[in-house]
Amino acid sequence: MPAWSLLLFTLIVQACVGALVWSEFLHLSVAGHKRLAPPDTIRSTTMMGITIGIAVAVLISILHLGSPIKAVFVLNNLGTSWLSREIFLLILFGGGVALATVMWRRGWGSETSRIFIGRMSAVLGLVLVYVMARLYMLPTTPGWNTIATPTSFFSASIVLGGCVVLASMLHPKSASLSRENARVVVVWALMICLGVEIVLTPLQAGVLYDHPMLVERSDGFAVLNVLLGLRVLSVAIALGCLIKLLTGSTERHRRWLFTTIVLVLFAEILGRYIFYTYYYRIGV
Amino acid sequence: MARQLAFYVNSHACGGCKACQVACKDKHDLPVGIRWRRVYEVTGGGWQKDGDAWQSNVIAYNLSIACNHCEDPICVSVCPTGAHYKGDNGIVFIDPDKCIGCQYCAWACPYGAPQYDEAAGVMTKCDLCADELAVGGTPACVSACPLRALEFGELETLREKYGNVAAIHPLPPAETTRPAIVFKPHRHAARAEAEGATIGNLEEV
Repeated sequence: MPAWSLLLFTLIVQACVGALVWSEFLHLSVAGHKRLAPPDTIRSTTMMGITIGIAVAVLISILHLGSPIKAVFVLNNLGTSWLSREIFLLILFGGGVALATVMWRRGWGSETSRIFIGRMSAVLGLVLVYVMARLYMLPTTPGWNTIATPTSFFSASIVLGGCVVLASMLHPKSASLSRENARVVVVWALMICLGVEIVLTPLQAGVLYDHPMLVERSDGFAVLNVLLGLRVLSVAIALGCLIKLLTGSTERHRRWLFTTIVLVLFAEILGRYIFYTYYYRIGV
Repeated sequence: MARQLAFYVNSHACGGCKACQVACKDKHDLPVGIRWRRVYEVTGGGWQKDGDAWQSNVIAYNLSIACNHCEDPICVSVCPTGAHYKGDNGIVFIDPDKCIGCQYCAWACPYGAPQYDEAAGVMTKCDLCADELAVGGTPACVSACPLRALEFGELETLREKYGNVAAIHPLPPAETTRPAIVFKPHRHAARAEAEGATIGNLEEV
């Protein structure tokens, strides 16, 4: 540990799920108001980006396998293995998004069927994030087997996905959806999630402080406290930037948004680094 | 009831010579860093001043641990490919033709049994010397123990002979995976748990 390939895999997949959920939610919120909705090209481009993201994540995840050639057996234990279930849902989610992307870009099928596949994929994505969290909630790993794991995974999805959607709003074609209600909704949701992440930090710290490595090493607590402190600090500054996004002048939005995205990305990578680095299990 | 083979470990008799560990490595030709059987040195306590004298309060015992071929093996339930499976005699095997080397089993097993062979790209673990058992032999570790601190046999038979202790400090509670093992605890084991004794040879295991 840390398992860099797993760190990147989980964050990219969760960002992709979050981006799709946000995209579908925002389209749903303006359903029936064609004037507010962004053009279909934005939707298909978002989906294309998510498809590419999932493909990259899968390639990265393969890096941590000793024998990737035998990955064909990975669905053999859907009955009891959360890892098997994760891969199964990843295939469904990635396949659904890829299909929706092709349908939007080629104009295949009715609009209703394309929207249905997109929304079903978003729901599958949320189930995927839950399964990803369950994978780590082993009875033998007390540091992972807490409510903080699913909470932080869902929070990462919403926050990273929200950043992707906010970034896409910089696109000139994102039209009226971008600078009105949607931005406010996304920014508020991000602020709530980042607030939850700050509140969760003491819970996470409480579990990590039981780590045998910390008990044995005198400087262990100091290093962990610095890492947790850095994470809380970057989340807090990102929160400040989001407030400026709501209240500041429009000309400076781009700058605040960029700063927010960088800080959120840093905080999430650091959070996941802590998650993997301070893995421990009971026993010997 | 299905057949379940198991180890018996007499922690009270174990002198920590590691002959079992070496015999296992030799028998299976294990590469550097892979130890299907490991001897943990549990240490704690110290010296206490008693008037003008110092009294020893030291906790020290050895624990020889391999795969416990659990009755409810977590490695089998978490393995995505089904490479981990339980044989008819209760032995937990790994099928190297199915193992993808994801190491999820190593995260989960509280006994450190599944170990990653980097060169082969697969997980490996104790198979209770199944090839020896097939020809009426005994596991290499059991044969090698000079103090007869290790035995193997049917779990029920071992329990009738030695009792039902399946967990001693610092091992997890037996309910977690229901390990097929019987211990004779060292006389320091209860104090070790109460006083939080630690493993003194982490670099070795």
